[in-house]
Amino acid sequence: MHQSFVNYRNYRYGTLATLATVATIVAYMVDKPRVPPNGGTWLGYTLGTIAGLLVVFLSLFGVRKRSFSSRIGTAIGWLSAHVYLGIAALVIATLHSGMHFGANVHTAAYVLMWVVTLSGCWGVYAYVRYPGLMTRQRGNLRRKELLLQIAELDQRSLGLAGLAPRVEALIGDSIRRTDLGGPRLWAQLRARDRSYLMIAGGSASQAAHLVPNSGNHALIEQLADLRLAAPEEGTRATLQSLLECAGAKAALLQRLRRETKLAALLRIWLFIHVPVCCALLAALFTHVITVFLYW
Amino acid sequence: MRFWLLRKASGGGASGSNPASSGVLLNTRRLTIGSGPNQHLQLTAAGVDERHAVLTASSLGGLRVAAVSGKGLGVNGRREIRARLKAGDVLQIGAARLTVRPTRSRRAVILEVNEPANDPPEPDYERWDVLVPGPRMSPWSWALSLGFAALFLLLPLIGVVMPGIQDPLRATPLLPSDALWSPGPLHTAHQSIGTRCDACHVKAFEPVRDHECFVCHANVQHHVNIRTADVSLFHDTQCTACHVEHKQPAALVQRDPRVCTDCHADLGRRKANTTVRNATDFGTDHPDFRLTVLASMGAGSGSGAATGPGAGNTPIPWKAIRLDRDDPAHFVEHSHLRFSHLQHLDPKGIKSPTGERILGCQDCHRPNSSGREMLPIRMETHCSGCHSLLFDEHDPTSGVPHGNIEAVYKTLREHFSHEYLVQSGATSPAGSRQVRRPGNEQKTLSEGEQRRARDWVDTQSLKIARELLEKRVCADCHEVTRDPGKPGLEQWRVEPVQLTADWMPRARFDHAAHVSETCVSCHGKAPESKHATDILIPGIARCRECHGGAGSSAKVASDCLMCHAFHIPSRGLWLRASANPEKAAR
Repeated sequence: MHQSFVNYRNYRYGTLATLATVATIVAYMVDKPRVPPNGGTWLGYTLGTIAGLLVVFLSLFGVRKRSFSSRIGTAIGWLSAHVYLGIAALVIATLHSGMHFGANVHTAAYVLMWVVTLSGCWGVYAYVRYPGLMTRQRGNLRRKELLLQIAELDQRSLGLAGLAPRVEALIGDSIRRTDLGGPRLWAQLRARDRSYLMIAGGSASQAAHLVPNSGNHALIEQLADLRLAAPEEGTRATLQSLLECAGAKAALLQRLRRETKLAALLRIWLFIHVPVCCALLAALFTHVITVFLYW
Repeated sequence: MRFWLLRKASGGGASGSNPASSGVLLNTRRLTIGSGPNQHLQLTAAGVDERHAVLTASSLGGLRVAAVSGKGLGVNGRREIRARLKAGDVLQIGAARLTVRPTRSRRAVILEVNEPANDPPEPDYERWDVLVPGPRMSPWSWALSLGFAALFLLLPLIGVVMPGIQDPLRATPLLPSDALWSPGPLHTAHQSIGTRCDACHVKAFEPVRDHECFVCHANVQHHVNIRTADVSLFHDTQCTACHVEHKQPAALVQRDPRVCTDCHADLGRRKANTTVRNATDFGTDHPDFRLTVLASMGAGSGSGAATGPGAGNTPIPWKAIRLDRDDPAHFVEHSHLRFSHLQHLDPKGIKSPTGERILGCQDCHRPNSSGREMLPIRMETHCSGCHSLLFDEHDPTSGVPHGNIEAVYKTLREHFSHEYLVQSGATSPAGSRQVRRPGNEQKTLSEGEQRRARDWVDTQSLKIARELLEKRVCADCHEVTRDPGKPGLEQWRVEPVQLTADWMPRARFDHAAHVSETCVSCHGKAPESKHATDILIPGIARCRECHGGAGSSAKVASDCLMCHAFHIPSRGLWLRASANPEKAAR
């Protein structure tokens, strides 16, 4: 079986995290402190220490991930431990809290921990699910090959478009106004086809129109109209080929856009996970300091 | 408004057949310019933003340009954000140049577009090959973490160090103060402390000390007599051992039984000569109640009853003694009363001045205003309705006072003196009336008559006193002992009476909390009790029918503090005990 961070070393860290979680839950249930369960009993301090150290260790994954030359474990092993121990840390921190929540820095740290863990879980889902979907969207081709295919279709269309200035203008404009989705994350996530087409007027004195050309629909419409009106068989055949090119390009763009969207989804959780994790470290520090400052 | 766009490829582009060079006519008031696919004039030249500029033409012939992109634009060589244009003006947008050509019509604008050759016309697909990275994370990470620490740690911390800043921080809503560090609410009793954390948390990184509690709670009593050595057992005990704040649910006292059973599970280990028995759980491991009753310590003033005003001059020494239920021979109350509950609670009724009367418990036992305890039984209130103190049943004025045997005797003597005088007056002959001289009243009777009168009065009084003390009235309720060796009234002694008011002074029992029960559901032996010595207080077994231990789920969960208090009155101030140098040194 393919080894991923999920089943790394036969679920080594999954087992470890499960054992740790079960052990702490059992300890929590067995322990009968004199005051209501809270972070200040001996079990509370123990669980707090474990959870705090885990959070620090989990944050070190960010450092380890960036140091490619590091020999401390493998990157995939670290990721596996990061995922499983991260979920365990949330359970342990919950037990550490003794379910005491309020409008204070301690609960703030706990809420941040939830945000980090949930965004991490989203990341796990994305890493398990999206790469396969992306490959499927690309039809097992690499992104560059898809782009080359689109460029070839453009070249072919331009070659065929020489039969009439009007067609040449349409094809040229449709190519220039092709939209692959902006570089902005939001545009990548929406994956909307914001292509346009400038349709020239019937004569020089008639005004041109700028119309949306999502999925090359406007171009296909124009080419189809021209093909219907074309008197010669040869022109009709050329226009037919152009129509095929326009359809094929629209399909390829659709794939590319969806793949881009998945790629964006694959990254976007990190923009929550990492900054909130940094805030969590600050909150954890604040939590520990203030608890003992006002003992 | 019409815009004519004339494209002129400059710089000798390879493709001279650029189809746009023929020009495009657009009907619009606002002409958008940029590299984006939805712009009217799409410029592919370098330095052109997706949306770069907007040309606005008014119907009066005015033409304005405004930059949408931050890069701005050049107008006749000057950098501008917006400008009015006239024929001949040259706009520089990125690497592209736009010239406003003169036109005769006010409703048309002719723009000549010069773009550096940019063939082939298709978009630069290569730039889509590598996904453009999203926003950078590190600024956000730093901002969030430093922001959190500054707002919730540093700012309140500055307040802790500088009180001048602390007060406004605490007083102003939404400003972060050390109140945000509080892990949980204070009990309502402590809410007046508010956000003054330093009222209790005096030293940083040190647990709260008793000293701060004593600021308000100086009069808290100790658990043991502070003048005994027992106090050393508590030198390690802090207020916070039982009184823990900032926990949910907020509680003044943590009621975990271990707070008590740490010592009371095996008290002998800490105090060898203790008489207190061990207990760990009310339901399973608690001794039966030892009752505290009052016992009179022998001779007081020989003639006095203890209750009521005017009792003997010497106070009767009563001592509280504790009785064990498992010692039935001694499990009795010596109140020195004679009383039969059985007789009084006869369901057929008991003789009273108004006929047969059926009595209930509440006819004598009434709760006090709080309902928690019972009012004391008083002869005047509860008994005298039926038990008259008439020594002559046919004379309603012949009552004797209650509570003082000397006063009884005096009343009797007064009565018989009067009777003697009335009778002697009635029998003396009418002619032999003696003349009374002022200042010589006692001489009205002759010496002999006076002696006879005294003897008669003494005899009658003593006779009735004996009857009252030995046969009826007093003897109905009181234990009376007689010493035949003593003369006159002194031979009798009404044993002093003191009813036990508080059977369990070391525990609390609240009658009001048990109103759903009937009296006899706990005091079940009362209707059959024939003697005042019977103790009718139920044992622990009866309590356990409803009350379980602290952890009981089937019965009323009853922890130590439900009945017992830790701070016991009159043991001495905890503050004073803890002021001992050994403790202060720690």
